[in-house]
Amino acid sequence: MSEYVLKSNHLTKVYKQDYALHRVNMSIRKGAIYGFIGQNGAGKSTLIRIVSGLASPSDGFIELFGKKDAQDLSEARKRIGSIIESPALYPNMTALENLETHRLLRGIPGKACIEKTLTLVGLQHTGRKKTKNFSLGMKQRLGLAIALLGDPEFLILDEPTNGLDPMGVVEMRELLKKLNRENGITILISSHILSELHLLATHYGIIHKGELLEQLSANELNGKCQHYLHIKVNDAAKAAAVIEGELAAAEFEVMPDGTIKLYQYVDTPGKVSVALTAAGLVIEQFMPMGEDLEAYFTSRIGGER
Amino acid sequence: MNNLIQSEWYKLRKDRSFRALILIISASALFWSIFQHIDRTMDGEAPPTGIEMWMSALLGNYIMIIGMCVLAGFFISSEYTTGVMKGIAASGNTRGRIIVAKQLVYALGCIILGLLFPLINGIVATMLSGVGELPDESILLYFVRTVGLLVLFAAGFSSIATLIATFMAEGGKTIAFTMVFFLFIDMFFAVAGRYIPFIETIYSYTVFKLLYDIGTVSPDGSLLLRMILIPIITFVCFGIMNAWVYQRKEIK
Repeated sequence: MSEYVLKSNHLTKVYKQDYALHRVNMSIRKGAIYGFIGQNGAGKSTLIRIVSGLASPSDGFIELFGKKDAQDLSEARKRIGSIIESPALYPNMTALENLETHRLLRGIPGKACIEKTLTLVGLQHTGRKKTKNFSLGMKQRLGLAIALLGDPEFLILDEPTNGLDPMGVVEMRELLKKLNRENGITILISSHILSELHLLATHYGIIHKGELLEQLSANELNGKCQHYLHIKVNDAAKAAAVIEGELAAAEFEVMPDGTIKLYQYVDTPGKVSVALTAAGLVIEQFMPMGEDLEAYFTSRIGGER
Repeated sequence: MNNLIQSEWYKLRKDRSFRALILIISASALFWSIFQHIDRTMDGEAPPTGIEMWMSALLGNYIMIIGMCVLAGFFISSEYTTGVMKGIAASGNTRGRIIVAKQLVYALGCIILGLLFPLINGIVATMLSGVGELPDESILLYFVRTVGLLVLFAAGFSSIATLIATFMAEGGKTIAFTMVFFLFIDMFFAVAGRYIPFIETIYSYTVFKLLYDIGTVSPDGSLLLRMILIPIITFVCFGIMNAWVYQRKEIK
């Protein structure tokens, strides 16, 4: 049995002249929570759509659970639950009726799974309320319930926390962690809320302009996130001269707000504070800091926002 | 395949437009048959019998066509606009099976809508003035044959509407386009046939023309054969085209 749930090989999608995906080689190990990061239009949804069978690649191919033939891929997709772009619901049906439609569609025997799944996402008391009257958060939960119907082995979630209130975001995160931990469900999750993704993902893939720039584990990311000394003094220019001259440090940045990021001497901050004080500078802020996922992502895509 | 059909059937039963159409068609049929009875009686004529009302309701059957267009928009195309088609296409069922199941259940919906108006007209008139009789044919045979033909033609028409709905992928556009298409296609053939005789010949072998003939009493063998084969061929051919289009369609 393949240790990878999903692998893409030189996956390419061209719309007219534009590459939505360009030779993407992605791999998601069984049991991982894969955070898929990219700007709008970077190619996240295109890749998810190809994996889900909604679009076909212009070149390259995907392997799902080790299967890559068209017929086998269709079978493999029965092991996937997904929310693609937004939860797709029948507006004039209740939550229960929406789930019943999908239960029949997937050929899941017995109706017990419906109540169980509704309870899991906290929608067991919606009764006869039509989904068109649901809040965005409730729609997201119902979308997740539909994705979870039939106990999938691989969950694909495109912006699942959209519209959720802060408590809803926490609950969603805990639920996904629980599903991953207890049921061993592999999760591919794309989100713009990188701080949220940082609390959840075990692996990351960074995509930019259709190219997969990097794949790394959470541990690798933590190692790569640059640590630095955050310094604020009364005279940034003079401090920069001291850092460059007396401390012979070249890896630093003077930020527009006058603060300095010094990437050297992180383990020996005392030397820096002594040098700055000796130069007659008044230190207003001085603390070791680390970049987060957002800063790392921004640096990887070349500072574009 | 069975699970797909069950799912589609469940959705059809829950479809508000389908329920509304059933209600509207039933109410109009009831009103129309009672109105005809009262009107004729007041004019001093014999009220229409069950078989007369059945025959007049079969002619053209525009109610079936209008109902079918509305249902195509709500039952098929709206699934693209609401996005649920993504969930269906990503469910692991092959595209071919998905569209076949949808076409079959949609055809069933059209058959129900198509039968409703003539059936209620016939039943109410029979209750009010008796079944009546036909000069050259047994009523039972005529009724069974016309029901069978109506089923075939509803299925044939529905396969064309399914193709348009799959192309359009938007409820409003589908309803508008199918209505214009089905209501004016006869006019197109009539005008074009005047200048190009070949088109007139083609027209006589289409479901559009033959729909007007399904109420014919004691049809000759050739007409009956055409009325049986052409809707079946239409259903199969358009079914293949639907599958071909849907398999290549990028679902937004």
